[in-house]
Amino acid sequence: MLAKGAAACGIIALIGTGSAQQPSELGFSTRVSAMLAAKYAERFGASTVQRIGRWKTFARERKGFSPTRVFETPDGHEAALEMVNAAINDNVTWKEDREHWGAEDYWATPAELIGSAGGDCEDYAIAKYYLLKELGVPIARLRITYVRVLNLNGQAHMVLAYYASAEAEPLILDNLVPRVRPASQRTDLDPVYSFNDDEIRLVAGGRRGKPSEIRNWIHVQTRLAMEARI
Amino acid sequence: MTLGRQLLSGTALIFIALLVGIEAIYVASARGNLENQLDAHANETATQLALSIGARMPVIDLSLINIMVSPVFDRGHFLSITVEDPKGEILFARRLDRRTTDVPAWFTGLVTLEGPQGEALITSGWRQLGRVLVRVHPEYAYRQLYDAAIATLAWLVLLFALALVAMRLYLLGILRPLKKIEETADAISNRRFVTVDIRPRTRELQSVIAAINSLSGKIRDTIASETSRAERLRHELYEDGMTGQLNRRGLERSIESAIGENGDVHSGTLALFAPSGLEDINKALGVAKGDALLAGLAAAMAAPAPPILPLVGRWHGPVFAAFLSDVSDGGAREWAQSICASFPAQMRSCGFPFDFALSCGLAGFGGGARLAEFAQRAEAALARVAGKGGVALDESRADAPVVDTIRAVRQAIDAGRVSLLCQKVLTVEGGHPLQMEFMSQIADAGSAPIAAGTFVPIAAQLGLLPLLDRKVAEMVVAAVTRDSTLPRTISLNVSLQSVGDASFRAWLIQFLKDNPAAARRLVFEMTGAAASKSLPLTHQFAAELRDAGSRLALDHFELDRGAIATVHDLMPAYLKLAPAFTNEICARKDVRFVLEAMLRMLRPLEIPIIAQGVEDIALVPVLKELDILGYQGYAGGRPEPLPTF
Repeated sequence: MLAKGAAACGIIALIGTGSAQQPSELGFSTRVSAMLAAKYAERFGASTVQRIGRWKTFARERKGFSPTRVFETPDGHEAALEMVNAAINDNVTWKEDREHWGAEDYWATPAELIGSAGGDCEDYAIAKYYLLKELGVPIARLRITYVRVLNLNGQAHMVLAYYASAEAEPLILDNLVPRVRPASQRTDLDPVYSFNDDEIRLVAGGRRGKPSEIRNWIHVQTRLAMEARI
Repeated sequence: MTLGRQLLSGTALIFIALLVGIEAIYVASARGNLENQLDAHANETATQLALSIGARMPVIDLSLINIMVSPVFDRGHFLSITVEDPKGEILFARRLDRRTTDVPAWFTGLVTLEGPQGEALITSGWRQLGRVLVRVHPEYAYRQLYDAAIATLAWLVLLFALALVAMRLYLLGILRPLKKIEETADAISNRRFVTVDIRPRTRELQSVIAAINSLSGKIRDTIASETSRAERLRHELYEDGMTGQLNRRGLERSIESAIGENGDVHSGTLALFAPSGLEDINKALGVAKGDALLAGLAAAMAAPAPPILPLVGRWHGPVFAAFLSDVSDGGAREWAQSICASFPAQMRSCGFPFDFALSCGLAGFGGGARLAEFAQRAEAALARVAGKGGVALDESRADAPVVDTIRAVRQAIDAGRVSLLCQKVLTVEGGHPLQMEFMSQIADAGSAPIAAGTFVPIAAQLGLLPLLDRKVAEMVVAAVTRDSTLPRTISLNVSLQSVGDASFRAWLIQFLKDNPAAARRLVFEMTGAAASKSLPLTHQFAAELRDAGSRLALDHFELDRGAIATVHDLMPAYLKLAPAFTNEICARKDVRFVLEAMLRMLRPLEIPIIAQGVEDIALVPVLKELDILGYQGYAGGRPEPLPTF
């Protein structure tokens, strides 16, 4: 299923024109070792290794792939995002945190999400965020966004928004709908707050800034660092 | 610098290094925490502003941004708040032009505290309207950091002071034994071979103390064994083995020293006792009985009968002599008669089976008398009553000095007709000047000198010696100050009469303190016999002299009873051997043995020896053999009126 939309994936290389900073590779499939996969297999079942293997293959094969002609139009972006969106959505089953992780509000790392093949909205958004980042999309275009779902009585939800430019209307990658849609078509969502600051970036004055202060996001960062050491 | 001070300053330096380190770590850590707080503050403010701006406007409205940002900015915690559009163009900015802070410049120069920047995206729905950038003013943080740093420093300084006090007390405890060891070392270098009587807990100090005690003990043992050897030889030389009293030589030496120029006896009586029939007793009862009789006689004579304190010795054979100082003829006769009467009776009552008579010849003497002269008269008196028992007194006592002489001496001293004579003391090795001894000489009204042998006893009887010694001291100090060619060490005599005079001592010490340069060169000489006679007084005088920069030495030193103890107690600058002693060195082997033993005893005490009365240059090589430092006498030069070195 991850192979779906392979032709469109070159967009990633197109839009991924580099940041001056060496991006952190935490959260990338390349940082998931065989030992970590084996460890997650003990936790989530034997097929974990296989699922993680497919994820790594997907990322490796599409990284740097640049069939530019496909993506010269804004629709090309959409197609590339569709591919990633579908890859995560199709391989993961929505499960409540309490049921799946045994915690009230748990934000999973991509390896945990794919390894366990289950998670809730923020886990989807995070996995998509890291997969796009790994494929070369500058994180300035990506924002993990808290939204309220209006037709579900304003229930809290989380999606990934892609901004082709700062002023542009974003494209929304959501696990509730299978297709990537422009924000204007997602009248069911009311955005509240967004962030993307996993990057270490230089701020004015020369000193290093730091990742978001959002507690769960920090926990994700911590666990990513731990995973990278295994 | 003392060890304690070195340890304390070393520790203080280490403490200071530690304190500086602790302060630096504290400030760095506090600075890190503050920066984190400021960072969080900047981000929170940016986020809040971005949320509230985004919620209030679908499009950018600068006046609304101004209204929302200004109240936050005006709280004064921020260096700048900037709102940018999505492309990074500045839409609105507020800045504080200068940093106002009352924290000293040295602190802000030493500790840099950046005002961190927080950043948040302004969104309206899905649209990005721009960013809010907030930079925090570090002033408050600086103030807080400075106050905390100063408070910490104050506490650390207080702890430092307390630690130093504690360290000082601790070191005092540890180093107390060292103080004791130092005192002992000082004592040993001053030739007092004492031991350290403490046992410190520090192992190294225990070893040091053991070594010091062992060394000091060995030297003390050596001195003790040489002392007892010298004492034994002295005993053999000067004492009578049978009775334990002096022998003839010992008695004569003691009498001569007492009545001589340097002595303090100016009149008295010599009594010679002889029991009759000793040969018959020896034959009939055996020599042991005869010896017991003589021993009993000597003991009876030596028994003190205040105010008479007889000095007893064996004259020859069965004849025993008693030297009675400062006793009238009548008092001496009474004393002799009582012994002549009581001793035979006492022997009989003790069961002595043989009757015998005790005879006594007495001869009185006055100032300037010679022993040979009055001994001869005593023998003649004894001959008159020999065998018959009873007491005979020779009445032909030499005339006391004529009234004219007494008046002449008094006038000369009162009028200050005192002049100085000086005699060189030379080194045995090479004959170099070692010191110069000054002596006094007085003249009568016609400028004719009065012999020392005449005027000293008279002056002593008249109590004029303090006056004379004072005059001499003044003249010597003047001479020393005036004449730079004199040898470094200058010696002069001081009489026991003067030393016993508190006002003289007080004057002398003050005089020496007033002339410190001359005082350091002066050595005051007392006779060995005088020093032994009043040891505590002499000891005190020696201490006073030391305090004033001068020293005390003993001259006319002989191995009398108590002489060795006197040397140990006083630790004199040097000893001058009495002429009589010196002149017997060549002639008598036994005297030489005694001297050698005495020198061995003195060697560890490092007291130099000078031989007095060296009349013959041929004696010098002998003195050299004996390791004697210097000599004085006609062989080196007569006393002369003025020093010309």
